[in-house]
Amino acid sequence: MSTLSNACLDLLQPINAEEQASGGDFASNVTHLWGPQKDTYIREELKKLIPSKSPASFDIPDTESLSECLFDASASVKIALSRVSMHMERSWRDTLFHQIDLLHDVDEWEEGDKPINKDSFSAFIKGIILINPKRLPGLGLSSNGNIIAAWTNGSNRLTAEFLPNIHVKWVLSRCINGETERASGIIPIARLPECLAPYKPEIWFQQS
Amino acid sequence: MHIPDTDHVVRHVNRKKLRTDECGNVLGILPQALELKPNEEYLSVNWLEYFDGDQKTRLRKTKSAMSADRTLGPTSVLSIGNVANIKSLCSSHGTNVRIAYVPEPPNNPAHSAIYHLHSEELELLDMLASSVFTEFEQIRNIS
Repeated sequence: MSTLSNACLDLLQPINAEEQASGGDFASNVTHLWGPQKDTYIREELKKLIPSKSPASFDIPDTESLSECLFDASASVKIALSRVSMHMERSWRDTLFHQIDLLHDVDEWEEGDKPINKDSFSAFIKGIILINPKRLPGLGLSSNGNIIAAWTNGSNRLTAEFLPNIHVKWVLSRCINGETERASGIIPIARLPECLAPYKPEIWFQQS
Repeated sequence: MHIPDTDHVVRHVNRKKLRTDECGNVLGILPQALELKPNEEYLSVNWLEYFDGDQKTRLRKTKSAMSADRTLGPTSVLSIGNVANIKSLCSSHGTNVRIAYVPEPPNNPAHSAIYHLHSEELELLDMLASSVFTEFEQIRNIS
């Protein structure tokens, strides 16, 4: 099982016997849940980790405030990432932290850009857990502040934009038996592994 | 005025819309780099051959023109696409784009536009990004 899935299971373990007996802790609440219910519960727990005010809604009046706003935006999603990355290889967490910082570099910021959207980031985390890659993607940010994850292996490309409504907009190009197949869609994140399966996604997700 | 098929257009792509690997190495541009923003009528580009000189000189002048009214981050890129290739690829996908010279004096006399390129055509944008706009130069390397 992936380190990320283990991280989620760790979140499900009772902190102590008293909490387990109480029936009110995170682990007790979730261990008896299945499928969409458990997904919803984990998603709600992730939401609690992020300030209610979405970084994407911040006004950015001047340069000094811009630096502060971008710092706040990147810090808030790092906190959320830390919650599920504690059992991740440190290099993975550090790489993601670094990429998040690059996306919020004040020297690269353009008028009209929006910082990372908290709900999009939650969706990204859920997507990563579901597809369980052994390779991290390169990250981008749409004009609306949605996280874009891109895996590239030669001419084989997978680009996934994680939307705030727990959907993902994806497009791929896959060379199979000498033919290039292209596909795209907007789907609930839960269906992402199923939609990618026909295209043998190990080309993107396995270590090269 | 239509731009000749033999010429090229330049799209500025900021760091957030670059295709990178997990180590941050730039591999190209993402399809999202060719999406229209809300309320945009066309995809904004520059006509490379508007300026005289070799490619290096043209890119330098393009950078200067673009930077007059917007921020060009040092790790952002100028991505170059051939007009004929853009039109051909779009046509093969049933989209007839129009690439026109639309100057914005005095700051950007080389400004141009790609009309009828729709953001919902994600596969087409992906193909344009990966097979047409394949040549790029980082802003910090243009001098």
